[in-house]
Order: sequence, then C-alpha cells, then structure tokens
Amino acid sequence: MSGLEPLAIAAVVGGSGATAYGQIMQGREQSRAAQMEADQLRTQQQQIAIASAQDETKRRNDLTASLETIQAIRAGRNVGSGSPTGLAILDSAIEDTSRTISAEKLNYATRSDQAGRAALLSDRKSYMSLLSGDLAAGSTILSSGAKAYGISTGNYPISAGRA
Amino acid sequence: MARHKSLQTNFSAGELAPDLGMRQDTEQYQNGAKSLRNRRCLIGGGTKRRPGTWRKSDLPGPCRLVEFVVNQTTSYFIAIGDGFMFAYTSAGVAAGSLSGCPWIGNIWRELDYVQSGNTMFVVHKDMIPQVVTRTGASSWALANFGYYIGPAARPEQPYLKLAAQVVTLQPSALTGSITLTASDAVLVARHVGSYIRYVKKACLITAVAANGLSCTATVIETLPDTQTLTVTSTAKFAVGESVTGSTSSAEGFVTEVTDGTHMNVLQTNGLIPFTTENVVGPNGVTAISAVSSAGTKAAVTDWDEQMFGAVYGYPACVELHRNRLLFGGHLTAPDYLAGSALNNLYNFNVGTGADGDGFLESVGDGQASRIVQLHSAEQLLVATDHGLYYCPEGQSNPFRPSSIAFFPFGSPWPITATCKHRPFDNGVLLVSGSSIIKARPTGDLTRSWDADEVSLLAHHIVSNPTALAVTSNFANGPERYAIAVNDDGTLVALQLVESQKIRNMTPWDTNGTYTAIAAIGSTVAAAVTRAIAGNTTYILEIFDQDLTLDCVTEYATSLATVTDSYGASTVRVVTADYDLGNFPLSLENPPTGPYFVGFNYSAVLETLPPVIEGPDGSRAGDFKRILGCYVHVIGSARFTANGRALAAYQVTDNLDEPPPELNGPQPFQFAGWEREPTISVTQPDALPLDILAIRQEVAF
Repeated sequence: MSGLEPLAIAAVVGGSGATAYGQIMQGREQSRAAQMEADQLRTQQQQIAIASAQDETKRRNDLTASLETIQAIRAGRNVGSGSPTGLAILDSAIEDTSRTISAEKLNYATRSDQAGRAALLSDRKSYMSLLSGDLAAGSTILSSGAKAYGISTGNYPISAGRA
Repeated sequence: MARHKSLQTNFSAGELAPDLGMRQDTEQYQNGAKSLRNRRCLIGGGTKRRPGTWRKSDLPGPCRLVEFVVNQTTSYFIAIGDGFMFAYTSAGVAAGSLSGCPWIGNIWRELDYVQSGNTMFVVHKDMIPQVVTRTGASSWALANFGYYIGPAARPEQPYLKLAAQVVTLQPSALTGSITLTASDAVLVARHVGSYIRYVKKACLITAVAANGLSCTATVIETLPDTQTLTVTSTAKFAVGESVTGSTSSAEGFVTEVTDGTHMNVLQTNGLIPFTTENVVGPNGVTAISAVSSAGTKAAVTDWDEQMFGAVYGYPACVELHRNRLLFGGHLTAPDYLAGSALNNLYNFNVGTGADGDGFLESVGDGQASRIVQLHSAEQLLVATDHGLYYCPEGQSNPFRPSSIAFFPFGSPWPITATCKHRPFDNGVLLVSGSSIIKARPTGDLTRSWDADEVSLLAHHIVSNPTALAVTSNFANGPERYAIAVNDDGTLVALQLVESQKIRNMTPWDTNGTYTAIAAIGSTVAAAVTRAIAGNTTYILEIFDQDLTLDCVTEYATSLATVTDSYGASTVRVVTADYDLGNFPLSLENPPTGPYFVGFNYSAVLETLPPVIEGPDGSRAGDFKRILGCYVHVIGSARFTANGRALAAYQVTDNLDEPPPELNGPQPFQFAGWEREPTISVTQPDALPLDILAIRQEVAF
C-alpha cells in the first residue's frame, strides 16, 4: 500500500457520499414534482366534473328557452299548440339536446378519466422517483465501498492511465 | 222642352243590381245596364248574344262536371253522379266510365278532388279517399287510397289522439295479440280494422269489447316495455318525470314510484332498455342495481289512433301543393291540415318534423272551426268556415312542417265547401253564400294576400253558386270568364280584368236548369237538366259562340228525325243565315241545310235610365221621353228596340239572298213619357247580335 491510498480511499468514500446524497435529493425533488402534477391533475379532474355539470345545466336551460321560443313562434304562426307536428318538433329539439348532452357528458367523462389516469401515473411517478433516488444513492455507496476495498487491497488501480 | 244626347260606349260594368238603380253618381252606372240577360260583355266594351250549346251526350243522371287534363292535347270532362263516373273528351265524346263508385246518394255533390297527370284523388268526409286513374284513352280504374307502408308493415297515415287527453291506454303485453284497455269507453265496433298507437307504436284492432273500454289488437310494432328499476333511492324521482340511462341511451318516463328503491319506467327512446347504470332525472341521479320487465304495463295518455277511418270520418278536401298531398276538413278534427311527406303523396308520417316529413297541423286561432277548401297558388290558401288563411312561404322559407303558418286575410266569410275554387285573373275565386270572392296576392311581404267580393254590383243574379268554371280566350277571342252555376239553375258570367278596371256580370238562363259547369281552355261544358218529350233529361252540352240556340242538334239535310231527339218540345230551327222559326216549320220551301235545331233563349240589353243634369239640378224622377236612339252593331241580324223591330231587308236588298248583316248605327224613334225610361233591345230571331254602343236623345 502506498502512502497515497488512504487519501484515495477517503476521496472515494467522501465523493460517493456526496453523490448518493445528491441522488437522494434529486429523487425526492422529482417525486415532489410528480406529486404536484398528480395533485394538479386531480384538481383538473374535479374541474372537468364541475364543467360537465355546468354544461349540462346550461344546455338544459337553453333547451327550455328554445322550447319556449318554438312555442312562441308557433303561436305567432297561428298553428295549434298540441298538433302532432308541433309535438314532433318539440320532441326533436329535446332529443337533439339530449343527444348533445350525452355526447358532451361522454367527452367530459373521457377527459376526466384521462386526468384521473394521468394523476395516478403521476402518483406512481412520484413514488418511483423517490425510490429510484434512494436506490441510486445506495448503489453509489455500494460502488464506492467496493472501490475503496479494491484500493486497500491493491486490486483496484488508482489511475487507470498508469495501470 | 230641352233635349239631351248621350252616348254609352261600353257596358263594362255589366248588369247592375236594382238597388244600385239610383247610383247615378258612379262610374259603374255610366257603364252598366239594367239587363244583360243572356249576353256577354266584350273586352272592347260592347256586348254579344251569349253562345248557344251543342247537345253532346245524355248523362245518366244529375251530376257535377270535373276537368281532367292530362296534358295539352289530352283532356276530359268527367261527369260524377250517384255511384257513377263518365268521361268525355273535351269535344264531348264518350270516353269510358266507372260504375259502382262509392260516392252514392247525394254525397257526389260534396266531393272534393285534385288531379294531376293520369291520377285524380277524390275525397268526401263519409268516404274512403278514392284514386281515379286513367289507364288508357277510354279506360279508367278506381281504388281506395292506400297509404305508404313503412317499417314493420305500418301504414304511414295521419295519427291523432281524438279521445280526451286524460284518457289512458294500457296494453296487456308487448307483442302478438294483446288487449288494450282504455280508461274511458272510447272504443266502438267501427274501430275493428283500424290502427291505434301506444307510445307511437302501432297495433291493428281486431275486436272491440261491448263496453267500449277494451279491444283486442295485433301488435304491428313491438311495444315499448315498462321496466321496474331497483335503485339506490327513489327520493329524487316523481311520476311523469323524464329519465335517461347514463350509458345505455335509454330514455323513459316514470310511471310509478313503488317504494324507496323501486320505480317503474316506460321506455320512450325506441325499444332501448335501461340496464344496470345510473338513471338520471331532472332532480337527481341514482344507481340502478337491477332491472326487470314490469308485469303490468303502464297505462299512458301518450296514445293516438288513425285519424281517417270509419270511426271519425275521412278528409273533406284535398289539394296538391309543393309535391305534397294535403287533406283537410276532417269530421272530428276539422281544423287540421294533414300533409304528406315531400315527394311521397301516400306517406303521412310526421316523423320528427323535418323538412321532408309529413305534417299534421291545426289552425290555431280558435276562429276557424273547419277547413272547407284548399287551393295551391303562389302560397297555399286555406278556406275555412270562418274566412281565408294563407300559409306564407318563399324561397328562404319553403313549405315545410316547421314553417307552416295560417295567416288570416279578407273578411271572415264562411266559404262554401261545395263550390270549388278557381284561379282567375291573377287571383283565386271562391264562393261564400251568394257572394263571389276574389283572393289576390298583394306582393307585400307582411300581408301577402287580400280578398274582396267581386259580385257586389250584381248580387241579384248570384244565388248560392254550386260550381265555378273559368275559361280563357273564349270563342277564340280575348275574353275570359268565370261562370258560376246558381242554385236556381241559372248561370252567371263574370268578366274580370282588374288591371283594366273591367268587372262585370251577366245572367245566363235556358229553358232547363244548369246543374254543373266545367271548362278546359276555351271549351266550356255544362250539365243541363231539361224536360224533353215529358221526360227529365240530363245532358252534357258544350258552348259554342257560333250557335244561337241551346242543346243544338245538327241535321244536314232533313228535319224528319227531330222528334226523335226532342219529342213534342218546342224547338227552334236556324240555318247559318236564317231563323226559320219553331219546328215543325211553316215554310213550304225552307232554305237548304244544314239545320241547327235547339231551344231558343231570350237575349236582352236594357239600358239604365238616362242621367240628366238640368241647369237647376238633377232631372232624376222627372218625366222624360227618349226621342230616339242609334244602336251601334256589328255583324248582326235584325233586332228590336222597345218593341220596334228593324226590317230584315231594306227595299234595295235582294230578297232571294239571306238578310244582310247589320253594321253600324241602327236608328229607332220612340214615343211616350216616363219617369225612368230605358231602351230595351231584344231579338225576335235566334241570330247573332253584337252591340257596341247606344246613343240616345232624351227630351225633358
């Protein structure tokens, strides 16, 4: 063992510790970011649900107004209020709106579902980031331990260039 | 004694009613006449002896005449009477017939019809609509109107709930032979064979219970089910509310809330059932955990039945408009107008009210209680028992279910249902009682039509017309007339050229009764009832301006067979140039034929009393004397004025030749004083007389 080896061992161990710490902190940072993203997506999911309800309410209000307009126009045209064609036109308006509401609800549900799934993915990403940081740090430390042992036993070149 | 000369150059106001006899202040008085019996007004202002008629065919009985125009070269007069239909070419030649027609009894008088191409639709409120089809030059077919058959063999006919709105209908099952139970006794034996719909799904009734509360029916389209939903909570749901399935697209309405977790729902979106999903109502959402078909199907008010049928009657009027067939005047729903789908005259499915769908609409102002006639013009005119309506339409607002409107115009005349409207002089003529009404487009976007009575000045010669016909280029001249058949068997000839301010009417009569009239182009035909040889005879006659007698038969050389056609009836014999007097002739050597034998009719022109303004005011009612007059004529035979006859020959004429035609002014001298003197021009001979003007000199 040369006189340089303790210094080399200390440098290896010290450097590895710093790297491992950095990896842990990076993992935690990524985890926090992913968690924040998951929270945002959950908020978005709730907003979509609210928007869906608001959209349906608005469309139903619009339909009510449309039906009243149709009836007012028909009264102005001097046609009977309860005629089969009048009812068919009203039914058609109701049916059209119902279909639109259903389609929009489906759209909102799809977007909500996508946001929910994305939130879950972000949750997982957060967890994985944390885990991967810790694992990377552990790996670094183990790797540096092996390196220090090699130096102490002379089986590990200090400088690959001189070996 | 002062003298006054006046010249009346036209008679364009026609015969004026007696109650207008003192309206000397009006233009119509100046251009009118006291009588224009059996004369027609000419566009140039004069008047002419009305045309006589050819005796064309004997008709099987009283009837009405209908025009059937296939194209410019093929057209028919159709005689429709008690159970029969006879066709005649426009020349009056028999061209096939139909017997056993359903318009029996007197209902043929009330038929309405519309014809296009080889097909004619004939309707009456008590008769299944009929389709008359021309299958050949002289062959015809008759069939019941058949509705277009839609999906599931469903006839696409108008359906309407004619029972009270609160009456419910409940099926025992959804398919096969089922029992339909009503909440009130609305079913009658005549319902057998008719269609009834439960939530817009059709069933055919096969039997009706004696109490009228139920019937047996064959389901044509599977009926929508009533489902029992087991839900988390029924707290936010109530009977009558519409509900939808969150994923299935099922729709329905709540028919019963059984308890806190069960409710019954009737499907309304086709046959799509609810499944285990969320059910959404107007007040909340709940989860469905189980679904089953309810043992008892819902009793609902959402049902209707076929509008036209044996139970409630059939349409009373029909029209074609914008490639749709229209029915109106139903007995039970008389203010409803049913229209077929676009380009499918037999399909009356109202669908979703889309532009191409059929329609069923009612006049909504509460005034008109019955549609009596429909007329297709620039816009559809709807004539009711309470006036006229038009359905506005234009290029950007076509005639379609969502745009139908009924805008009233004119006065609320009760339009006569049995006297069919006619297009005339840029408008439409209709009859209301003893008034003839003209509806005309105004060109104004906000008030597209207007109407007024055109018979006011001669209302005394209009008596509840039963038929109208219009002719153009009459007798190859520029005149056009609308001719109405009065209920007293006379005719009224109406000349109307409003753009030229010409409006006049003249009365036509014959020694029988006119019962119907029709016109194809310039050819006018009439159905006339005459007493010939002691028998009532129904005859198809065609007007011809070359004739001066009615019901004419032509005999080429001999009159030996006249009695075969006319029996002992008094008939007149004329040739082209001579009036030979009544048959049998008293002449030993009559001129050679051809001879025209028929019934004479009196033609009269009587002027109105002269209007004289003296220096101290009106002379109306003062004694006056018509000293003399000149009657200006053209191409005429001799005639009389106030009983004084012109000589047929002048001393310089050759007596071996026919009497020469009279042209230009013909002078007369008169005597006698009267308070309201007139000049009455009559004809001792059944020969032509065209009067252009009358100049008179009056002493007062």
